[in-house]
Amino acid sequence: MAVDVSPSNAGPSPVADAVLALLRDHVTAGLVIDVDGRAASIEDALVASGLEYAACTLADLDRVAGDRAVVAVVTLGGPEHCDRVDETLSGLRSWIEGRSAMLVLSASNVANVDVASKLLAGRWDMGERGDHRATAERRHHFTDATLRAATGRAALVELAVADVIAADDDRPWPRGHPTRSPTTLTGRFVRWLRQAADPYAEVTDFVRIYRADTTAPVADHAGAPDGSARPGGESPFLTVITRTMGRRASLVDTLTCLAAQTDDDFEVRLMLNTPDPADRQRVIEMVEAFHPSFRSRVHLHTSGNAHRVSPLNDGLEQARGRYVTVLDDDDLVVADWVARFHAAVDEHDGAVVRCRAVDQRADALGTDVVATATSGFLLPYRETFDLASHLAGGQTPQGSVCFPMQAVAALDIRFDCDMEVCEDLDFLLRVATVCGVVDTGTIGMIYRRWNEDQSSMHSVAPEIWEEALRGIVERLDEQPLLMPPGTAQRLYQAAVQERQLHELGHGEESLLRRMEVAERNWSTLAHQYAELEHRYIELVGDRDAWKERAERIDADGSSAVAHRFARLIRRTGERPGEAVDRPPDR
Amino acid sequence: MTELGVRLQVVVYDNEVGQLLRMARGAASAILQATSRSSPARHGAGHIELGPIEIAIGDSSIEPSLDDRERAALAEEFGSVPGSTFTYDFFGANLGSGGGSNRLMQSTEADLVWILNPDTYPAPDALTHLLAAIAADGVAAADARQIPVEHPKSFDRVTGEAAWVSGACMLLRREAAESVDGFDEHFFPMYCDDVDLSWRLRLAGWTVAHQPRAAVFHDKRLDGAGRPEASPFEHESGVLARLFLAHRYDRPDVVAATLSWVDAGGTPEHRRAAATYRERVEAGDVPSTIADAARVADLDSDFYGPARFRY
Repeated sequence: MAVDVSPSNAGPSPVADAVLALLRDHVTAGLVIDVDGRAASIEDALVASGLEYAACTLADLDRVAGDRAVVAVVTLGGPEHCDRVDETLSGLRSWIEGRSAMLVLSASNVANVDVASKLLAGRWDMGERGDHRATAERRHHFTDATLRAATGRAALVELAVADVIAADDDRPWPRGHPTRSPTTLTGRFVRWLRQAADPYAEVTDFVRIYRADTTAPVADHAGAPDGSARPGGESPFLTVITRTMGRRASLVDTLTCLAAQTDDDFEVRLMLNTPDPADRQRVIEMVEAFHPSFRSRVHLHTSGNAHRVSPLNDGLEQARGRYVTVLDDDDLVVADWVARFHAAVDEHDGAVVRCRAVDQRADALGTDVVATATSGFLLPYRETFDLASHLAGGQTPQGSVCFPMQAVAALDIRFDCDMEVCEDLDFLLRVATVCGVVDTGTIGMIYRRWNEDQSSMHSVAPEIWEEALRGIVERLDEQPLLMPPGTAQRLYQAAVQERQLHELGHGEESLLRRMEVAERNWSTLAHQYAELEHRYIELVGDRDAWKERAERIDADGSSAVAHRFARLIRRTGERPGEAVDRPPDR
Repeated sequence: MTELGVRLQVVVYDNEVGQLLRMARGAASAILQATSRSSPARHGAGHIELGPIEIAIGDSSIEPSLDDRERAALAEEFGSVPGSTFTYDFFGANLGSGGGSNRLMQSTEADLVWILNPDTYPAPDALTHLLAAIAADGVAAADARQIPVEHPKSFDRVTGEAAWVSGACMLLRREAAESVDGFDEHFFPMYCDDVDLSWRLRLAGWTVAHQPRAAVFHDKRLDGAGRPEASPFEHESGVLARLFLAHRYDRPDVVAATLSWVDAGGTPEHRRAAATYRERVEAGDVPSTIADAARVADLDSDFYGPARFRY
């Protein structure tokens, strides 16, 4: 490959600065050879650090090195521009191995979030300089994973990383573009989505230093589980993860339901979480008793005495299915549970698929928990998935939903082991807000509600549930949410309801004001009543005196006028109402 | 310890081969576990040692349900049971559920008959636990707990004693069945023949028991309201079977009430059932009446006996 190695080809750059930093940290004195001459800008700095500098092509390495002590070979962008990456890197490894030198290389990150933003806008080259990742000379494009895989194959062991995040001004992209700007909703969503995949979203250039080690095992950099990437044959449609402590006889019910599925394109990852060898042996014998056509698809994983949630993540790591679901060791499913999921995925590949679950109350017979139903099927769960309703609490038991492993892998989503409850709802909502949810429209799963204390529902305080729900909402609120079609209608209905409540609130305020007025009026009336009562008592106090005088007048019988006056005085002494209530004959 | 021969028998009617292979895989595993000396569940049962194993499929379809290749595949599934015999008997006529079971029972000397629906998948330990249940004194038949749609009928949680046992997965003492002349073939085409057999066994002094430890998957689905789905055929046969049962146990009031209910607002399927019943009464093609059977014949409960819940 013809390469211009003149220093004019390489100006100062953040990449060169990162190379310099790595060299200063890892080598002291000796010759640094710059293959292709792209690091010429740091020559003075290297010399100032006590190092020597020389630039050459790959073919001239031996000649330029001569007998001098070479401490490092630098190749900036070399792997991107060569014809055959593996051959080039292996050649470099072989060369530095013979000289006990280091290799420093750089490569542009083709998975930088800017590239994603640009492509979303239907653009590739933008700005005056265009996108440096798009130059025609590049024969290979690297992500962190592919760079690790390539260096691993070449027996290069990474010593340190000085990846570069180019300043915003250096990026050939108009400011404020909706898909690029970190302040627009779209820009924020794109960034969040990209950042969820790996920690290199913002990295523009990988800059790393390696040593040769042909004895080191070649690492598997396949990344997170995604079903299709796993060796060992074709992936099944579905992985069923089932946690068990090995003590419930109800596990045989769950396994029997799975063995009886009409669609057998699935595997079972049975996560046995117990330190007791007897429990483990019991589960092994239970599985071994099934027909080979089923038991060959059941894989037992023992985790000793792990956290309640971590076996689920272990199951995700082991899963080979394109989709994954979690079925508890007391759940039941109907015969077409897998088939309905499968049919829905055939039509809506990549979406989360949900069937409807029902509850059934059950008693546990015996210490080994043989189930016997005590109720019919209860329907506490929504017929179809609805994000808003799920935010207020679980509407989808985990066995009634399956997730695309591609999304789980791409977003690196795992069950949150710090959550005491609701980790399944958290997982569901994080995947659902990216993939959307499709309902099968059928009831596929039966969730047992134990009448005695057999589930976390009984043993966890309500405050813990509420706190977990709040945490889920807060986590969702950290980034823009992608809402499925139809959400506007739901939001509209919610807004109308809110307005109605607001109006009701106004009505309530009015009512309160009227009550206050009435209360004030009552207070006035009570005051007036007290005054009247006081006056009455005064009058009653005078009654006897008046009565006596009246009797005297009456006794005199001097005149009819005097007699009527005496009657009037007597009636004045009566209490209000006494005349009405008193029996007539009294 | 007693060594008893067991006959697994399944009456099929136009069933798909996939469904029968599924049943065979479950049943074969269950037989293997029940006959395995190392089976831990069997240690718990421990009272019955299984002798010769027979597997008999009876085909009540108008045309054979399976071709030669499919029969061979079914036989192969049962081939994993050491020393077992497999027969496939095409009846050439629809004998119904009870009639088919009787026909198959006539061709065996086995002590125990395991009757299984074609749309089932027994758990590997189902037969082991059924054996434990039937080992108790006086128990003529035991049935399994159906999943995922459990039957609501009540049972004694200590003894397992129940009003009747289901023919979907029933282990039956042949001697007891023969002592009451087996299933009554008048319950044609199906349903309630198991209730009738249970009641006659009980009248004869036997008991029947539910075994909750024995799980059998019975391929029932749920409708949108969370109730077990029932096909038009099931609706029709269910009403017809109820009428036969009421007729059998001398409950003209129940017959009249059922017919009246159908006449007043029944579906077309219900009306067909009522018409069939009237025709068959006319023709004398109904179960003979057993009087004074109120001790066992509970026609007033929804499920022909006390229930734990309703769907």
